Amino acid sequence: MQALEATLPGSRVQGKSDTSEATRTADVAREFEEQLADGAALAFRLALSVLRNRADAEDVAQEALLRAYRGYSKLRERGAFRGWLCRIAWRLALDKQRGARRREKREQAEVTEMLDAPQRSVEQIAATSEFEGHLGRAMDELPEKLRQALVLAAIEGYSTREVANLLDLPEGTVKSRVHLARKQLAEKLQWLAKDLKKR
Amino acid sequence: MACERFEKALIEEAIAPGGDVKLASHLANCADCRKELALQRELQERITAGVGALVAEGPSPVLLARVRHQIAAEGAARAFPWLQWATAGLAIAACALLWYAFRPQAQVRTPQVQSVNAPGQIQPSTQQVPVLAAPAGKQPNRVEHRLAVSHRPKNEISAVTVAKNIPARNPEVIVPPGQREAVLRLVNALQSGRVDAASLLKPVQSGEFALLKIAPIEVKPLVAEESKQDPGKQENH
Repeated sequence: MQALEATLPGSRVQGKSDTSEATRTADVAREFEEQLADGAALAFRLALSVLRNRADAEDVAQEALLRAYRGYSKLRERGAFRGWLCRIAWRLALDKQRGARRREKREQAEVTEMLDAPQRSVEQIAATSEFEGHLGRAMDELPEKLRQALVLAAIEGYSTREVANLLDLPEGTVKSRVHLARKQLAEKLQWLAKDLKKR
Repeated sequence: MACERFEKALIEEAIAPGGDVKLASHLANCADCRKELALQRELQERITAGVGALVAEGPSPVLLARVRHQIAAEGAARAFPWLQWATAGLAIAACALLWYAFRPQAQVRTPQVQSVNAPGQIQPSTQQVPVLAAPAGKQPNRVEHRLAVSHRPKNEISAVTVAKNIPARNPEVIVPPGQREAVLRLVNALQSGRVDAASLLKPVQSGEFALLKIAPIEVKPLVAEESKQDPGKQENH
């Protein structure tokens, strides 16, 4: 915390006479620190929903937080921090998703995850990972706006109003986007409904 | 099999129940559509669970530590901007020092030793004097000079001194044994400008070439020197 106060971008080495500036810088740093833990979780989850790989998601979250930190002193409305961080993390995650390395890491991680979960039966693992794979691919095909709204709405504790605040959109728009996203996913996964019918 | 006209309505109903009155009345009479609606609801539950699972995990505690560490590092660089320049300067100075300490030395050529037989400068001794080879018309450079002096045996004449005393363009003539007088006679004839074949063929008279005193080269037998250097070796034989 003290380190953050001393190192916030835009802060200068303060003289004794400039105490008000020092106090302001300390306040801003304290604000950022207060939002850091919550913001880290949000950025990580968003990145994870896109990348579906913990290591990649943590890298993206770290980069998003650093960018947010660098621009925090320039942010006029502190209440918009989370939405701003959301956009940074989302954009970075999408950029990373386009990278060629992501697929390799994800495949390795999937293998490791399967090996690390001996308590589940092989059939369960196969069914779950198969469904998650299909769901992930279907989500990748969703338009970005729908996908973002769906993911944010799925994060535990986030109401439609909070998502609307994060995305700076009316609640009705968010509801509509989530609904549309679910509908498109269901249409893409209709083969699964038929599969369920056979059982 | 659900009724085809209600397929999309069933998906909508599974997502947001109670939105379609016509569907509700149809469902009251159609068992297939009710079954289909149940499947669609199950699918939606799985989608909800799947999407929720994607974002259920939280970041590891290491993430916050990493972020704080990186922020502190960036902040330090920002708080002390001169530190970057100082570090860069120190790095450059260290590189320069290393370069100076291990800079490539001038190439040292192995001195070539040849026998000198300068006409007009007859040495009283028959010992061959080592001379530093230098390109014609060029004096040995400082490095070669220093090397020649440092490698010079204490009792020998400085090779460089000898090289300086020798005129640069003096011709060297190697004469086969027994033909020295004939060659000298030819040289005298050429210098006088009158070449007479009969005079070249006449027998040698005593004192004719008194001015050119060339001491014969004394060749010491190698066996004798070896025995001097390593007397024990000879005893073994």
